Amino acid sequence: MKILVTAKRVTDPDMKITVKPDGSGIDLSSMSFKVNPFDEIAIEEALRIREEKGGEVVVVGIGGDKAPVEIRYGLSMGADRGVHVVTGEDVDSDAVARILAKLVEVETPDLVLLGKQAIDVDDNQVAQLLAQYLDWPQACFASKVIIDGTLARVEREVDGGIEVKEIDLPGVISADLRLNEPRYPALPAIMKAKKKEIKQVKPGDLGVDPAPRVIIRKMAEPPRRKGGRFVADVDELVKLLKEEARVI
Amino acid sequence: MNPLLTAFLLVVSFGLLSWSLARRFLPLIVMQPDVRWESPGSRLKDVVKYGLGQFRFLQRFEWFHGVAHILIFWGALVVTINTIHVIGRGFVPDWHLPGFGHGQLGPAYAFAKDLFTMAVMAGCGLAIYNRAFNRPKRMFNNPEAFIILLWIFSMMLMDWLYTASLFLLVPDHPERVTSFLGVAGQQVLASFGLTGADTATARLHLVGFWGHLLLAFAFLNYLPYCKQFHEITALPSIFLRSRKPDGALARQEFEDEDALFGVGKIEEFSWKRGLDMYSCAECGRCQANCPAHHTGKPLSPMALIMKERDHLKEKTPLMWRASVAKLRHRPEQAQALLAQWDGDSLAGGVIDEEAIWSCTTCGHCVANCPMMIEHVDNIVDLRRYLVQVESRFPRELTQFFKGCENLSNPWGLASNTRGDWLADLWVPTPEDNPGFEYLFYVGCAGSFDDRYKKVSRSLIRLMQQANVNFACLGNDEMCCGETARRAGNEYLAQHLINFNLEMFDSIGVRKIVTACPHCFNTFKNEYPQFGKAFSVIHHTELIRDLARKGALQAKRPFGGGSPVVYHDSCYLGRYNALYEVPRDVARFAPGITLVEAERRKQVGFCCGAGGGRMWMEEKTGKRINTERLEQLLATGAKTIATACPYCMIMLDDAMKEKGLEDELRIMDLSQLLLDCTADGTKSGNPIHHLRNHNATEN
Repeated sequence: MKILVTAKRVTDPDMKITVKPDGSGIDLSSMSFKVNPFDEIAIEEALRIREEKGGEVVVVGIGGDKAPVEIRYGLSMGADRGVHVVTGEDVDSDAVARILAKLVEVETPDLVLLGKQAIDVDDNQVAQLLAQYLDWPQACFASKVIIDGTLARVEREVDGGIEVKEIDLPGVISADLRLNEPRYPALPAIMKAKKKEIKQVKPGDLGVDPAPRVIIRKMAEPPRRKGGRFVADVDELVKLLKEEARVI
Repeated sequence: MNPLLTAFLLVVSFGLLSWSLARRFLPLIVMQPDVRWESPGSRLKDVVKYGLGQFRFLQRFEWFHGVAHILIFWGALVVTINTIHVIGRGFVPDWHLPGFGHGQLGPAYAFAKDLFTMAVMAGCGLAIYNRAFNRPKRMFNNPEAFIILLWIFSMMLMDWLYTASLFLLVPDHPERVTSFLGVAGQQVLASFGLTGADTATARLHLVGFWGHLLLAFAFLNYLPYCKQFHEITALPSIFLRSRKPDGALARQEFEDEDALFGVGKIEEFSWKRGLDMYSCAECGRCQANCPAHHTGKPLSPMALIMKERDHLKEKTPLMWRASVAKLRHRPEQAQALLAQWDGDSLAGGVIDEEAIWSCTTCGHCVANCPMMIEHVDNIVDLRRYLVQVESRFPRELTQFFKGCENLSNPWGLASNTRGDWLADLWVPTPEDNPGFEYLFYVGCAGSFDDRYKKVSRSLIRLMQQANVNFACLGNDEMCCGETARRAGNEYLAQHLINFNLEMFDSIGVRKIVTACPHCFNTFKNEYPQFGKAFSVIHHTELIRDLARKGALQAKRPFGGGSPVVYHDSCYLGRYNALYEVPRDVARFAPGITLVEAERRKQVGFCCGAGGGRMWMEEKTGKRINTERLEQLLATGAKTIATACPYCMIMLDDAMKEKGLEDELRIMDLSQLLLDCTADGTKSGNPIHHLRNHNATEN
């Protein structure tokens, strides 16, 4: 079984994010980056499937010259080889989905596994768009994946319970938070990953124009939270909730 | 006596012994290389101090057990010369070593021998009594110990019988003049009506002679099979002890083609570890005060070494053949032989994983082992294997490792908020103040933990009061890598170390002061392994020096509760011998009565946070910090003074758990002193301070 899995380089979710004073974007100076945590979960799941069923796991990273750092991380977790699609940093979800769709034609995987969303822009669109472009079945927000021949049984957490979906393979699955706990790469694997292949591909080679269709005009930080205050009694609370907060 | 029989016994016993020793030592050859003979002079000094001098047997606790060992050890050294004489006399009557003739050392030696024979017998008696009726908790009652003690005692008795009957047979024997014990024995025999003419006397003489000889030969051959093997290996073990600083772990190489990333199999240990395993005498001094063992965790440093030794013995048939293959330059064959092992693996099999992770690396075991066994390095070797090769460790450590890796702090908090606490302090960065004398390396706790941020602030105020020229790195500071290293993640630690060294170099750091003994220890003792040494001091050292110079003036008595007890930080005390400096700081504060906990200094009890334990859950047994807090409370102290973020956080948690916030205060020594030096007004006006520096710059 061949699995294509994504590794996006994102700002570390634990870092303090500040918007540039001119609102043109996030201030990236002295910022830590890492692989998108949901992608990390997707890679882990791909590796577990491979360990059980055999096959190959290919890690795809789309981005600038630092993107291979995260592809390499996926390789050190145990993926077999990497593909780096060289673009600028401003590719939108749709461009990513179109690039992946073309890559799927080249790689012909049985399954594409992605994080449900990247934690930097939180768009949550690529898996769905990709399934559409490929005309493949999709099962998003997986909390459990069982591969059974050419069938994937996917559990997803919905309000009030678990929904079970069955899709035919090839298909697209996106990983949710509780799908698994990603491994911590062991040193021999890290050493081995240094020698694994990362193939560079340009969007042009795939016949895709990566120019973004969604353009960010301006960013602003949310208003600062004001401190709480004590109220004398329930009546005052109800009054304030009605008149000031206007929530009831 | 009987040259033929003596020769026969000699050949048989030494033949068997050689075989036994080969069986023990040959397997060490296939273990990892480790150079242990540099600076032989200092090594000999150690042999004199710790070996011959028995330095570690006279600890404050249980010195009376140590005395028993010293009597036997010193006695045996002297009496062994006599055994050599007895062997010689099997061939030539009245034979002695050169220089031990009647006109030479003979009479003096006869006296000494008797004295030390009594010492050995007294030592054996005392040891048997101690083991039977006065056994400390650290010891376990092993029948082997009684067999050995009685055996030694019998050897002495036989020799006594030999001398006493000799004096009956040869009444004008020249040794009679000084051999008081022999004469006493002679009188005892005479009181039973025996004379030199009786055949019974001659028979007793034979019994004494052959009894002593046979017991000695048999004992020699028993040694390699019991805990008494340390009689042979102890002095070499001490001679070959590690010469690296106490606080440093061995550096691991990653570049070599066949580098090992940790120890997963017994043969992956250095050969010296193997020798250490043989040297363990099972005395339990290591575990007497081991925080893990003491609170019911599955780790005992003694059991660890014993299990490894038993495993080594079990694997000996394969390792022995592999060693022979290695000696014949057939490494593949050696590897193939070792690969045949189908028994338990070492890390996680022979040694329980929970035991491996229970260690706080407090160093009590290493500091108190008479054989100078390196338990902590041993455990870290196993951890390195589990983390780096198997990626198997307590779940909590994943967050810890990732935090250090991505955000350079174990809390996993945003590294670009590391310097936020400095915002209102006007502390210069190296950029603002390129002529800084000290880099105040705040550390992760001092930057991220709310309790310890206050300590960082106190130290800054003290330095400002004393006009110390310093700088802080703020957001540019990284984790020092100490805890990652002790948690077995050497790869991550070296990444951090190399990064820091480059940064220190680029900003021209010469002196570093830290408020954390863990940062302090690794900068001082471990960073030099990576090519660069700095002058590194702990904040208590800086404060003491400032106080002595008069740069810090106590203006009012300590306002907190007295008496005060100082809790020794392992990495300040045991690893860096800073016992008095922090106490001096406390003494400098007027109005303080300093009391001492029973477990202090060399036998101080860990708070439970070292070695990465701070970041792991503590599920088994009693909590170490609670145990330590109770020990400190027993002194009647109202204030606990600490000098380490881990100690402070652990004890603070234990205090809160007990609900003692109203009765007890836990303070860093800098806070304690600031309480006395601050005069209420903001003396160290931060803005003025910065301007002062700029003025001196210009």
